[in-house]
Amino acid sequence: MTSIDFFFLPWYKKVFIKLGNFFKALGKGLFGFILAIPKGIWMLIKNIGLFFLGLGKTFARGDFATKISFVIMGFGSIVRKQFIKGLLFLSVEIGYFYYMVKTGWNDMLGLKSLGTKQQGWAFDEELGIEILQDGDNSMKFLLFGILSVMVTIAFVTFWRISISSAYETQLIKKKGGKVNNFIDDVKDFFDQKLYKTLLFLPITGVLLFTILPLIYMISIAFTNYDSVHQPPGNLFSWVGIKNFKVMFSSNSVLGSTFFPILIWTIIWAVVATFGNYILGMLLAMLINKKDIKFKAFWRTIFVLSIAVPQFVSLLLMRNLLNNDGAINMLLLDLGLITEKIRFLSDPLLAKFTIVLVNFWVGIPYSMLITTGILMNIPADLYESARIDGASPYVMFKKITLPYMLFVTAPYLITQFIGNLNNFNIIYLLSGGGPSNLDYYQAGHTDLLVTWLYKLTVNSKDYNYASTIGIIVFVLSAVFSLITYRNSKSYNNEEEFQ
Amino acid sequence: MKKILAVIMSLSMLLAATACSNDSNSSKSESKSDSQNSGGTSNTGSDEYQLKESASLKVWASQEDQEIVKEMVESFKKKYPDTTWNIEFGVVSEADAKSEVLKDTEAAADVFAFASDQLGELQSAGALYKITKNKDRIIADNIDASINASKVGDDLYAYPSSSDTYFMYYDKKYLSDEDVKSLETILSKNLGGDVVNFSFDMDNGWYNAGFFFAAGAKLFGDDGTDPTKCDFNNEKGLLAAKYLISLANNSKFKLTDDDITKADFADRKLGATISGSWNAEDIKKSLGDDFGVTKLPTVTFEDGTTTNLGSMANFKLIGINSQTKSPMEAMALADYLTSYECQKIRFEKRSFAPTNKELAGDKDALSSNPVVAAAAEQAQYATLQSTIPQMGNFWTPAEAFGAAIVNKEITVDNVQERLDKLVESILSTLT
Repeated sequence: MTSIDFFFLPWYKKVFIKLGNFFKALGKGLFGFILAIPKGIWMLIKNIGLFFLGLGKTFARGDFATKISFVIMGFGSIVRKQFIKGLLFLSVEIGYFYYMVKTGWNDMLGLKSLGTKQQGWAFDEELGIEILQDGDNSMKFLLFGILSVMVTIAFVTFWRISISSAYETQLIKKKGGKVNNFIDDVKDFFDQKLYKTLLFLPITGVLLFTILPLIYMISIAFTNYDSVHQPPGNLFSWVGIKNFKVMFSSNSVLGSTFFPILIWTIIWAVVATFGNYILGMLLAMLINKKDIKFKAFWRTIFVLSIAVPQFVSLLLMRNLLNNDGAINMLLLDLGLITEKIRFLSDPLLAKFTIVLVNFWVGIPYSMLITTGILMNIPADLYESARIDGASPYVMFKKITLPYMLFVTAPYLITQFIGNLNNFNIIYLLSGGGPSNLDYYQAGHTDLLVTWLYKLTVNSKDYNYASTIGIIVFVLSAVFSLITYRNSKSYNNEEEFQ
Repeated sequence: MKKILAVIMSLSMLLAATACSNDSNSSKSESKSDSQNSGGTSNTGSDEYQLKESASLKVWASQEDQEIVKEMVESFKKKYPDTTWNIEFGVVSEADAKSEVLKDTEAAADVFAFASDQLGELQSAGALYKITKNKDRIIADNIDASINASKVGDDLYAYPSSSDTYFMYYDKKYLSDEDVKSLETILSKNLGGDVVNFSFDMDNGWYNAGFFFAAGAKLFGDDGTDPTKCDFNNEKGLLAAKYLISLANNSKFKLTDDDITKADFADRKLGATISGSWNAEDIKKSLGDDFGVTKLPTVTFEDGTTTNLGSMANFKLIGINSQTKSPMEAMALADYLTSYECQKIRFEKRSFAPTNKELAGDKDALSSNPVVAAAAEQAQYATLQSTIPQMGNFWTPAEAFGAAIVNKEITVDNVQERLDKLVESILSTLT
């Protein structure tokens, strides 16, 4: 269909076509996402294959010293008089085997069972009391098991590096070139390979303090680490994807809580994001109008609410909107109402209250951002539109909105994801309440993320909390990838420059 | 035969002693000889604690208790001068103890105070040290209910330190001693203006369960230990729920919590409320000479039966961390912190009702403190809060049920169905 045909269609057909296009894009995005998974797996297999192929080739072409390097790391370097480098490689190997013999091997074995010995009591004759006999701590088994696997991967990497280093020096020697000594190598790390030196610390930090805990937390979703399997008194073990099955089955307590909360989470994220965005934009446009005076003054007034830390204003709102809070008291005293309005304790009203308070907190930010963009739109666009007789509404639809969406699409996406996981506002304003008898450990206004919090803190069901965490991650990752890939900011970078 | 047995036993003791590391070796053998001198004969050892030469312990208590606990620890140090004590303090309230201890048991305090409803979960997670030293004496010294709250099966896992329940505070300006005997009388009064006759925290399982208990319903079976039983949805529970509904619809009733209660009494806008000893000081300050405190009132249910309102009784316990490095020393300290002397300090300074039999039996001393006297009077209508782990499942549904009544979502029409749901949620297991 050409754009002319589209233009002459009745409005409802236009809406249908637009909606259809949206779902087509969504479907295409999802499809592409799913297609990308086997591709990723294939790439992984291919890379592993290449790794071994490279090893084999090196082994075949390597001389005696290089071949020995496969077993004794650094041998090739030492033979070619790179003593310090060779000794460093050797010490890595010795260190690794020492670690493996000392704890690593047992840790890795423990990863399979997550502990077998339960805590017990034994009578101590001398003291006359029963003494605790430490059992296995599944939590530590899991953590140290993962650590040992990571250490092993790091070792294999070093091993590979030592082999290729041995092979490279072999080639240099063969050509009659100069072999780097240790000082040359160190110099190299501050010159050509400076990026490696600079990246070393951050990468180690990320591995230890982000990746390791992340893998550990994700692993918990595949265990039965819940309130009845708590260390140190009890052991927990692997259960595969059982937690996900329980979460997605509608007849379990968790499933019947999960789906209503998921729906509310999505409704909340959509309303909060687009509400803030549209209202903030309208406010900015209003202030930006030509005949408005004291523009800076108005902007300052509206931005003032940012000056108060968010949690302070939320706690304040909570007090104001309480059943016995200032607002109710005021309204009662003025005689405007006869019964208290249960802003935060009525299930439906609480949802509206939260959305409204969120507007109050969020609109200043979107107003600030849109103000900046509004001032950037070339005035000649509007001028020519006006000469052509366009109404303000048409100008908004054809010029302002597309321009705005083009610039702020990534912002909208991050806002949406942020709202999916908006812990602060729910936790501080309503605490998830009012509680719901039909839910497990959750209230009417709980989002997935606050429910997750309650599951860990109140009921100690770590495995289900971790399961929810993974589901939320997948949801937000899929959503943001699809929308971002389909946005104009990604596809048509040049359009507005 | 006996001789052989004795030889084997002493050999095994020797083995155990040599197996220990060097530094603890000397102290242990010393303390052993001490105990032999003092005449320890039975295989449970003597009553004396065999302490090391030096010990480091961490103690958790609530913010309000910090001062008196420090005082108690000082006198504890004087009691055992042979040991070098290094005792640290941390602020963790009895209510938060469970979650803090279970977060990382090894990093938690050696000796900590907690509320008895957490016992089951703490014990099943293996966070509590089994108490075998002086077990019989502890059991003999404290009232039976408090010992039951400290036990799992036959094993003792905590030292009882005080009992806790709720009762009624009232403003004598509005209500006479006669009025407060029945909730109906309290509600029938016209106190004028915006003064509320009666308030209580209906969306809190700890309080609203009292109505169910008054009607005769049982949580977790007769002895509160059966995780598969809860009859809040039988005809008795229905009576209680209907009473709560009519109360929520009564304009002379108000939903409250600790802060609102204190504010209302300060404004003199409240007749009577249900609360516990922790608010005693504040309310006394607000009401002055009009300060009234007594047991909970009677209620008359739909079918005409009149009973006294029940309450959930709780105990403050002191437990020992299972991961402690010095169990013996921790036991000595916990034992001392819950002894007659220390319970007396708590009673005098904090109005905590003692669990020590001798102290609790001292009627003269107790009645001198009206708050403790009210608690003691209410105790006969109290139901011991269950200590089984399933109890952790009770609070959220009970809160939701109370909140739904206040929100008028639960009415006489759907109350039975909602009660069934309440019981289902309380008894639910995850998988």
